[in-house]
Amino acid sequence: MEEKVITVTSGKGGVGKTTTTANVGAALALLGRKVVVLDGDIGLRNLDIVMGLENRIVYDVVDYVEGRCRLRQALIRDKRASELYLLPTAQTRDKTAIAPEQMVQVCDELRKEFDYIIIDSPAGIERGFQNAVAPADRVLVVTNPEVSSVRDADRVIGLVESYGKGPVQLIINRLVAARVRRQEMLSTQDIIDVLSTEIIGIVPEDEAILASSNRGTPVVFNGKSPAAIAYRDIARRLIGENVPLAQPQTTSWWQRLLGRTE
Amino acid sequence: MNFVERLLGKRSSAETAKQRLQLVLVHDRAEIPPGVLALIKDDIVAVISQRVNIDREQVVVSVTHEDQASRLVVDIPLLSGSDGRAPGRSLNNAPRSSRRTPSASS
Amino acid sequence: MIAIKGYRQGLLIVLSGPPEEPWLTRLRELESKLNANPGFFRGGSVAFDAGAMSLSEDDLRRSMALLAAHEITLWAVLSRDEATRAHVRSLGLADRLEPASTAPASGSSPDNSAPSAVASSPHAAPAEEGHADATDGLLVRRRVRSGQVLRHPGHIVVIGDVNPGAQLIAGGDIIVWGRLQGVAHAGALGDDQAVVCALDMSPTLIRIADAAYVPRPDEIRSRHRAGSAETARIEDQQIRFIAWDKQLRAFE
Repeated sequence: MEEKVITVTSGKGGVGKTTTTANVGAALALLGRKVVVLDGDIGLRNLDIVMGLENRIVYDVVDYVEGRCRLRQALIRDKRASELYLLPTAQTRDKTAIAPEQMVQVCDELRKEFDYIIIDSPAGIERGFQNAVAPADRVLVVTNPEVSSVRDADRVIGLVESYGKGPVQLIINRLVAARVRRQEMLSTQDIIDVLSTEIIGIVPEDEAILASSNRGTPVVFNGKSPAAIAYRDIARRLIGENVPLAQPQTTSWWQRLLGRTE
Repeated sequence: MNFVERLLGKRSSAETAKQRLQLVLVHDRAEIPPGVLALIKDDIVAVISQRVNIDREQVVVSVTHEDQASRLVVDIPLLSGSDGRAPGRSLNNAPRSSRRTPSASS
Repeated sequence: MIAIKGYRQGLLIVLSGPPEEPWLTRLRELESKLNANPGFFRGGSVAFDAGAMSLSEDDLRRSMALLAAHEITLWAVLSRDEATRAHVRSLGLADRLEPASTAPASGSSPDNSAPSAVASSPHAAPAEEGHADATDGLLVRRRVRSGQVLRHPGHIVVIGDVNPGAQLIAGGDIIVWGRLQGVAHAGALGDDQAVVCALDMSPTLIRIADAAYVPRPDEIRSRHRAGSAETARIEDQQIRFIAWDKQLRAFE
């Protein structure tokens, strides 16, 4: 079976799952794939706002599951890319509105039409997380270079592996190279030491992200900022291109001179 | 956002965010999905324009939220010179027949 | 007679005795064992082996209640009696030791979970048939992640790192051929001669029998940086850490 359904999760909230889902989905669409991004956070929907499509929601995935509309009616087409769609979730229900088996059914329907289905998992490890992981062919875990975020990522990786959905691939988000150099922030190597998973992307802290979410325009549409480049590289790796990880310079030239290894 | 950009009337991203937020929160509180308003507007325009001459382009349908209550607010400008009939509907001056027969067009 | 055995799927409590001994008596014996070693059992899930005993639904409910009072979950009851097995199934319990995997109903992973938590040496917990001696060990060859719990009445050996947030609870010794950063409780069934060994001893909490030691955060960091293999054991009723080279002499 092709690996079409990709779930983006993290454990901890606020690390950048939704931004990652929106940008990776958009980047895949810009590479010519037919993509749908799916909001998994029932009751606290966010993917619509980050994508800037909030004004067009008429039906959502809960309406479809409960038989009030056809799947096509709930899908919102994003006109900024050739084949990019959003399947929003309900704002006025809670996580019990959908069961994991129903999520699997929804994704089975979507597989018929789409090349990639990217699911934005809610924070936590309860029902919402289980719903998001149940249909996954692969799981991407997003973490920040920060102790509690890495601890939560570890928990989530253990759970995903115990569900048989591993191995996961890791995205390190909001890395600040200067702070790693000053040893204020965990380095990529520190994180690998603890989590021991393959890294599929390193996204640096980028001012452009705030403006992009304010305006509802994912950064990859505007191209050149560091985060946009990183997200587009992640998309390329997902489709099988070999894009080497640009290791941010986290040892200073002085440290390298003295032979200190990272 | 620098001085020149402001002068040229460009909105800062924070201002855009605030506007979007105000709109989305009103919809959240009223529990009406935003896209549904567009459908309501189409429905209202279709129904009302069967009876009265209205300025379709200027119709506004919105939701407000004040004092814990939500209101659907509809603003429909009427076109002047209307005699109460919508354009395109022929005046039927034919006398009523004693027996009711279904008319061909209605 | 209560025996505690460690299997791939977790703990198995064998409640055996003369056929005329009532179930309640055996439960009372189990209860005193639970009271004597709360740290070992709490938060875990166990299976019962009731042998040839015939148990009513009430017996089973009473068992579940006793365990629940000690924060233990009963997930399976093995019995050679067909009527008992029917009661077991009607209460939603398993009647055999199924392999532990597949997405759990609740958010928590069962003990010793994940496909590779399987021993693969003669000293490890055996497969479902056959019985283990309680001194057998559990061997795990992978990283133990945050939130995961390894619980075994014998020794626990981990070839790999133990992450912060992970827990190892052993009736015997704990050996970590890697970095120990989580919680380790050796001698959890009352053996104060048990030891904890690690190539990198940086646990957040270490316990041997009833003694406990919580390293200070800066102490954890300095241990980690020094990176020497150490053994933790009780001396003079306190937990002490002995570096590997010094320890060679201590054991003689």
